[in-house]
Amino acid sequence: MRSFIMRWPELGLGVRCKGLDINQAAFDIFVENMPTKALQGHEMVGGWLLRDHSILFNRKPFDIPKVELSTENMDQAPVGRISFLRPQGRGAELLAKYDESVDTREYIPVAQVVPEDLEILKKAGREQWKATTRTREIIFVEFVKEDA
Amino acid sequence: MAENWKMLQQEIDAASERAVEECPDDMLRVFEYDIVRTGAGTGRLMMGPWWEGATSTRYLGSYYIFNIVKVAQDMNISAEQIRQLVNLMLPTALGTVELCDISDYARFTRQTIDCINEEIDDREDMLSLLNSLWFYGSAANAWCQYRMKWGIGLSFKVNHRDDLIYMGSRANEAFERWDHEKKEEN
Amino acid sequence: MEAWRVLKEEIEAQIALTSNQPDQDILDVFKYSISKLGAGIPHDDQIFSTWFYGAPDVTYAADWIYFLIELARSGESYSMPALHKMAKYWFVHPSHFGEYCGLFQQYSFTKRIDRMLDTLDRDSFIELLTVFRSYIMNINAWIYQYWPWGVSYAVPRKDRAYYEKGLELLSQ
Repeated sequence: MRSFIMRWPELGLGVRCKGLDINQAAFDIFVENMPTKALQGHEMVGGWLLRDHSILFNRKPFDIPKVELSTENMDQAPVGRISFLRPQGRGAELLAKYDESVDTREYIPVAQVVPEDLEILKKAGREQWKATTRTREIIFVEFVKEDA
Repeated sequence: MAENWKMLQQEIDAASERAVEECPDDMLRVFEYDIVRTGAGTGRLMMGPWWEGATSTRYLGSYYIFNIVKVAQDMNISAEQIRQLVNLMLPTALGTVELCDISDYARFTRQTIDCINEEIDDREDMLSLLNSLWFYGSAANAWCQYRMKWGIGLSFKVNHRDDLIYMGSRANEAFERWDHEKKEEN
Repeated sequence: MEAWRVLKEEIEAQIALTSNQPDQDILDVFKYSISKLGAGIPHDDQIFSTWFYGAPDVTYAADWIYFLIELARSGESYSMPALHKMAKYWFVHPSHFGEYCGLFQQYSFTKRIDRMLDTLDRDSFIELLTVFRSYIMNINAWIYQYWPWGVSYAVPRKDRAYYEKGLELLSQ
């Protein structure tokens, strides 16, 4: 089953994410590196996106050439989209779109939050926005394989 | 084929000439009047477009374009290598410049990339156009730094050693944080 | 063990540390507004300009390294001496300013990378820089954590209606 869980233990929230028809090799590398954890952040220019500035690939490096990856503009992506930015070697940035976005920049889509969990994703997004702009609460995000 | 790149270069050079003494509209719009027509600035907060917009403007010109020209001059790289560097280094910063509504600079850069990819084969012509774009970017960057609302920074004073020692000595007087019960967002 | 592998292990240790807790330099400069080498003090004793300029000069190293690795992997069109020279200009030089802004650990790593660049072959160049990029990305994450985003609740994006109302009020 091509899916994983994205969860925020401090918030008591988690969502299920499924792979896409595109960038399947990128998805597989991501899952192979799980469990992994990152400091959760928020996109400050392009709209309502969770942004992890540093996702580590500690087990299997990201070695897919750029030309083999499909991209999309974030403003065109559906809510729930999980995307990479500049994946290379041991790291990437990861974005999760939880509401509207005006971001016209290109990202590499790798997964989609399942429809029944979109409201949970939105809740996590709002909590992170509050943390980023008001409370500075430190929130971590974890990515685990679904059968874990 | 019409040499569109020369017309573009003339337009950029004219804009650079004006930008020496006159603040480009892009900088006035974003840094003075807090207008971002793209809707960028999550939650309508301007700090994102200011910081990321200013930084990507600075990096696009003063660092990326400058360093491509420098590599070309120092290492005598080919036209194809210049094209490779332009396509590798400029697009992501350009995306942020464009999103932050620094639109003239973004348009000049996008058109420069298109000319280098589709029209110009001569190495010196590529460098000539890149130099023009770099000069405009430098002028734009200067106005960016001038218009940025630095006054905000006066609220963030440096903590000196005596400040930190005092704070440490008064730590016991500080109200203890408590963990609130999570509430529904208002 | 080769010197670059020793350095790589030390960087890995910092990656592991900063994946779970704030980087010490970031806490010093961005949370506690400490100016460790005097940056910002001549300019009204404020730390904001240090944040504004110092942060990107360090964190853009992740992008410079991304470019260098892509070029190193793109066949032999760039020789190792050429890549070493580009590395010195692209991310080693800005690291000096990062040090002045109080980001000491990245400068310590960068200086050592700089000293051993000429000894690195293509594979070791890619491997060492790849790991250093991950460290830089980690400290970038902490910079974003402590950046004063909320200040600009006081300065929101303006629209036409805002300025039209302003003109109306001015002409009363």
